[in-house]
Amino acid sequence: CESSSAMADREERRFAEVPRESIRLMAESAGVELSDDVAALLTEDVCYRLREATQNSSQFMRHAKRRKLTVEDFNRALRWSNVEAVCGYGAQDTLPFRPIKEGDLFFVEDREVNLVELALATNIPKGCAETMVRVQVSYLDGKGNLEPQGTVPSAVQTLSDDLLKYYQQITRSILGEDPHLMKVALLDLQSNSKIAALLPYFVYVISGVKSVSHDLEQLNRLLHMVKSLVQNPYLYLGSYVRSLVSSVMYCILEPLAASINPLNDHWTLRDYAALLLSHIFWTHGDLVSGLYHQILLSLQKVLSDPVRPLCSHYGAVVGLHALGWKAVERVLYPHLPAYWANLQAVLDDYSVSNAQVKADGHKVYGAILVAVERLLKMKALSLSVNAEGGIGGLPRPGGIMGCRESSPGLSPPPEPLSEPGLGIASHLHAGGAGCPWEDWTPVPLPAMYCELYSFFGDSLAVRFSTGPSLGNSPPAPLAQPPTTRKELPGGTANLDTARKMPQLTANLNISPRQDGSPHGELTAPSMVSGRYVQAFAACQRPSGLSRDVFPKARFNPLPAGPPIFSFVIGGRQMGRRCQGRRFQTTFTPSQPLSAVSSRTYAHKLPVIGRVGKPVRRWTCSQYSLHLPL
Amino acid sequence: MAAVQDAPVEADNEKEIKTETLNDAAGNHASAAGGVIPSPPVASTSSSGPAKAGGPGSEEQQTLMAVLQFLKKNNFVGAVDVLRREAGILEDSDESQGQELAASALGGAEAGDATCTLSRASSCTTSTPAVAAAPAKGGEDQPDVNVVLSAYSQQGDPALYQGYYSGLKKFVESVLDCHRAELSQLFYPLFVHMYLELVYNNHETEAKAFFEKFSGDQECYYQDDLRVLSGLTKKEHMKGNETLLDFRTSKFVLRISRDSYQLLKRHLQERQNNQIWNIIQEHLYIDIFDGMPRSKSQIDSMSGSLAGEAKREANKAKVFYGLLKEPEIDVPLDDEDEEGENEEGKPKKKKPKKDSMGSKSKKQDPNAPQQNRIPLPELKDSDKLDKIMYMKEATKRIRLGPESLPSICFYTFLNAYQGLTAVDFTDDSSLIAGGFADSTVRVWSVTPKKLRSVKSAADLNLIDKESDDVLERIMDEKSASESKILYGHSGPVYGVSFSPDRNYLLSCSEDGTVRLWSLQTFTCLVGYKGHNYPVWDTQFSPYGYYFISGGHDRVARLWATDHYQPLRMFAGHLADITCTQFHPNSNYVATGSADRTVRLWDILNGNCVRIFTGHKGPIHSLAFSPNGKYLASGATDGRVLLWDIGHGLMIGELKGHTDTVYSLKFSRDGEILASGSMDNTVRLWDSIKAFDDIETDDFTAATGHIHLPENSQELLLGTYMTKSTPVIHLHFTRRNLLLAAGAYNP
Repeated sequence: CESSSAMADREERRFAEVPRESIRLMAESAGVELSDDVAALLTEDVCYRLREATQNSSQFMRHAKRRKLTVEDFNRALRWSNVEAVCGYGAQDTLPFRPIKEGDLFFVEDREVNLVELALATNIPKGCAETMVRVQVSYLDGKGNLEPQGTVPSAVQTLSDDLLKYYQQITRSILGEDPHLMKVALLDLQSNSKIAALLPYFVYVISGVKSVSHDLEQLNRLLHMVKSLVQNPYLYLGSYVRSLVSSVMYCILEPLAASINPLNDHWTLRDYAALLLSHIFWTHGDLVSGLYHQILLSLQKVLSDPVRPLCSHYGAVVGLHALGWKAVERVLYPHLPAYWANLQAVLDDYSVSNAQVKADGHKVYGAILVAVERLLKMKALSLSVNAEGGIGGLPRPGGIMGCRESSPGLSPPPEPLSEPGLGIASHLHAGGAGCPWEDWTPVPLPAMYCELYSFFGDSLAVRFSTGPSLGNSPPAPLAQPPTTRKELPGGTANLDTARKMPQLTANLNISPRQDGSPHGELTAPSMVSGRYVQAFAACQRPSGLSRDVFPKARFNPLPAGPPIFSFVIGGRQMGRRCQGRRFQTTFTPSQPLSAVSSRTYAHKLPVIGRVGKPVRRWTCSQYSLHLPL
Repeated sequence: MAAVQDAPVEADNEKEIKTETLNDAAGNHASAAGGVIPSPPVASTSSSGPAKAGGPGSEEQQTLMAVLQFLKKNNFVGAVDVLRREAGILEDSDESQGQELAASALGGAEAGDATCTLSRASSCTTSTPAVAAAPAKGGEDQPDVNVVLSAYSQQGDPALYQGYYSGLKKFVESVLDCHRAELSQLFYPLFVHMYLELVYNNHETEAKAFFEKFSGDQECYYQDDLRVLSGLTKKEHMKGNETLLDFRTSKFVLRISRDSYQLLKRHLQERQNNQIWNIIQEHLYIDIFDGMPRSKSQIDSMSGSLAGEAKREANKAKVFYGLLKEPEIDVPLDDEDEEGENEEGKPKKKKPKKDSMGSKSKKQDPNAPQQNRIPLPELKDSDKLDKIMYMKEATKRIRLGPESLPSICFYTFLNAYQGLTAVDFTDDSSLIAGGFADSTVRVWSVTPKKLRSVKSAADLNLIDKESDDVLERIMDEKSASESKILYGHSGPVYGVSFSPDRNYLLSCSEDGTVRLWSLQTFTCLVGYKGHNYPVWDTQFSPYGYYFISGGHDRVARLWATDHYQPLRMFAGHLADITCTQFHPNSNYVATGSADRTVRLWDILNGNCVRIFTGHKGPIHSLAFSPNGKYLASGATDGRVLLWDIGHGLMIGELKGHTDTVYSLKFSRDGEILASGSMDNTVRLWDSIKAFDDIETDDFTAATGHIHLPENSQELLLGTYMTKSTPVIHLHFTRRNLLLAAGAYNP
């Protein structure tokens, strides 16, 4: 807390001064009380010494042939005058110097550095260029050369023969016939540390999606190439993220030529692309500012365009879903009333000619249902977090923009409870077409549920299963000792349950808990999910029963008091289990990451209405995402 | 090198060395070099001139007594004995005599004690070399700092200082115009000394008021020093402040015509203004000349240095600026393969040789030093080959001039995040070396020929030493690469210099060492320790073997590569030595300093033979013209000044750069001067015109009062921008292609 404002009682300011109060404060912090006289004397001496050191440091700057005085220069001056150097300010970037209004206090902002994040950061430019000398004829016979000085010569960027060969091999294998070769190529692309120079070429290849929209297989392969590039920890994607995103978006949203033939499973492609999109966004979204909003905007545009085919709409919905429940809340939910009418019309048309369209409509319907369901669950969870301040230290990745996980496989990114990076680019959209960001206000959960219920009826309600009774159900899964659970491969459990109970437990993902934290009192949580938040359902077994247990009543929009939720956190777990889940988890985003049963209303949800087909098909299509790697 | 010792050592000189030894806390002293060559007392006597200039016997005596007292006080018994014996002073006499002298010295001074006077007397003689040799780093290791400062203890009424100063100001304003400019020179030194006296005597408020009132009157080029002064308001702070010590220990030199001086003297005597008169007597050196008073612009062009102008005597010594005779080498005989070309080539070859290298090949240049004045290394076969290459290249050299400007190649250092601080090219432009702030030195090959190191000793044993291509066989092909990194320094590398034979590379660093690297093995051969503070620059002699280094300790040192201790120490600068340069004939070195002077030193005897003042900022680049007659210097103020070495005159001022000039280079024939600067430009100047325009008639030569052309723009031939790349080195290839280097700094 050092201030360089001039002393108030002095009119002329010949140089910066440290006020007496600061000196006294500093002395106090060192445990010394200073009298006024001493402080005044000391102040003057400190100021003088600082000036002297600054003057001395300037010669280090001059001899280093720089214009900018660095902390290092100052430290050298200190060292040569036998004063201890000041550590911790060596960073090249400017240090923000901040005032605190109330305290009249100034300080250098010293952010905490998340070492884990730093260590796992993928955007460190690796293999960045060597110091080199490049010569250029700048002025020929005194006349200027047209090429500007100082630009990086193209020679730096030209490829070596080896790289060129690598590039040819890789593209040939990926786009070729041999699936095994493709697998190997993709794996290498994902882990090779020396291909930075090839990045633009690969990005260019990927942008070829637009020319192969008739060939699902090729599209699929290109998307896998994107995945490998994105996951390569040595690549710094930089502004190429934009290009990759646009290629992926193409696969999500465009009415691909391949989708004309109903036999082609373009839905899977769209699902996969959506997953990829969210993955790119969560891992590299910080490279391009405003990316999130650009994506949202284009998704919204597609959704609100009734001329577009249903498959495009489907893409928009799964895209939003993959981007997280906030995106759904912001874009899909407000848009639903308008969209619903169209969809309803399609679904209600039973004519034969409409059969194909209707089938597509069911697809969209299912997608919306899944998205909306997670929206409700996540919202409930976030409310409970707010209410209880995060039981058990729920990781709240605030401002999740920088959250980069190199997840094995395309496991779902951590779902943030907060809106990502809204502050960064929201101003871009002020007054922009589409979603009115400015006057968007969050809808309270009960109201939201009511509205959604009016659309989906019980097919929504049924997705919120709950324990038969509150508070007295034995916590069956917890009875298992943690060690055995550890052994249990989560993926198989996941699969098993999913197969047994396709309708109800499409979202039920029982991941064994690693920590076995003592939440024995946990009574009736119903849903479980992803990697971060795991709530233990006490009720997974008698799923058949649950239908009968649900009272057939509408949800009461005014629950008494804030709902109380309990959940258990399982940290990101590395090791065998993750390996085991590598491929199964490919489709997990369709399963809501977390869900919590609400004692207050969950048991009241009725189970009637459209449940079956769309949902099942949706889940099936999810499985088919499993790529032939 | 011949051990030359011009018979100096009287008692006085002996004492100087003694004091130096005692004061030099670092303990690296010239006498240590005695094993190699008895190092002469390098601190030139001319720089401590004032005491002796008016020096009748009594003053000398007084000085001796003062020194004796000082030594006694500090218990240097042995030194006292030696000095007494050599000076022939009786033991009992010195005490009484000292008192007596002190008393007599007091005449005229109002107050003051004996020690004060004594110390003042002692400081007059000893201070310059002593302090300069060991810059004060904190008061403790500088025993005579207090002594130096104590000269300020004598004082008048602090309240009257403003009156004194404004009285003088009024007087100067009232004199005739022709005298006003000259007498105005008094303001700055008087102002500083009066301010320091006030501060020293703890009149802080008066000092501040004094500063406020009069600091605005000072010339703008003193503002850097004024800024330092303004921060200094306490007596305690005066200790260890180098700027201040410089000011105190060296007399500020003013050149004033006799008429103006008489006016001033009369005025001060009439007004009984003892205070000012005392300061003038004690702290100023007024160099009186007969003749016309100088004009304001004449004065301004020469002033600006830390200690005023150079005394005229300082630049009187004869300088042998001519070039040495080139050894006779049978040039064209060996190229049988170029028979056809030889026919036409021969006359061409002769011509440029004559033009560029002057008449040196036939008869001895009258201005050239004796061929063996400084012993030079003998030419090896490889050197002769190189000379032949050089001459061949020279025949293809492009004649430059205002009509035919050189092409410029820019060597851009990319990705130099670790901070490029110094660059050098080999003379044949085949290698480039960069010094970096991360303590590394990197060498690149600019030609397709890669850098190879010699094989290891074991592998060398296996080589057939009789084979013709043994030189090729000793190279390790596996080590070939475009660049090599040399690790060894522990601080930023501030200077690099290739040896002329391309076998060695010198680098100097903040860690206080100069290192010699082999370009055969790419390893460090020697670390020369002597400067205990950052070394700012180093430079190989054009003939190799010798090199010069200069740094923060204000001493330039001359070394030979095979001696681990310096052969000469050139002391006299009042601030850091920022750049060094060898004269083409290797008999002299020029040093530029943060005290804003350029000094030329004679390698033979260590004397300072030229002091050039006129820069208004620290000097960061120097270049000799190829014929050895002229010197160019560039400073942080963006100006380039041209000097005539023979006459010791400033002969040109090139204004155009807007930032520090970090590099200067004359074209191979000297027609073009190229300057590179921090302002991201290379500028080309017509040096022939600049040299010719100056009429050096006898009068100007005698007085040193030159009239510079007002406008240097007509000398500017071209300005060439880089993109965000400060130009930190320039080099003309043997064919006069201009190479520039710098780090891209986005």
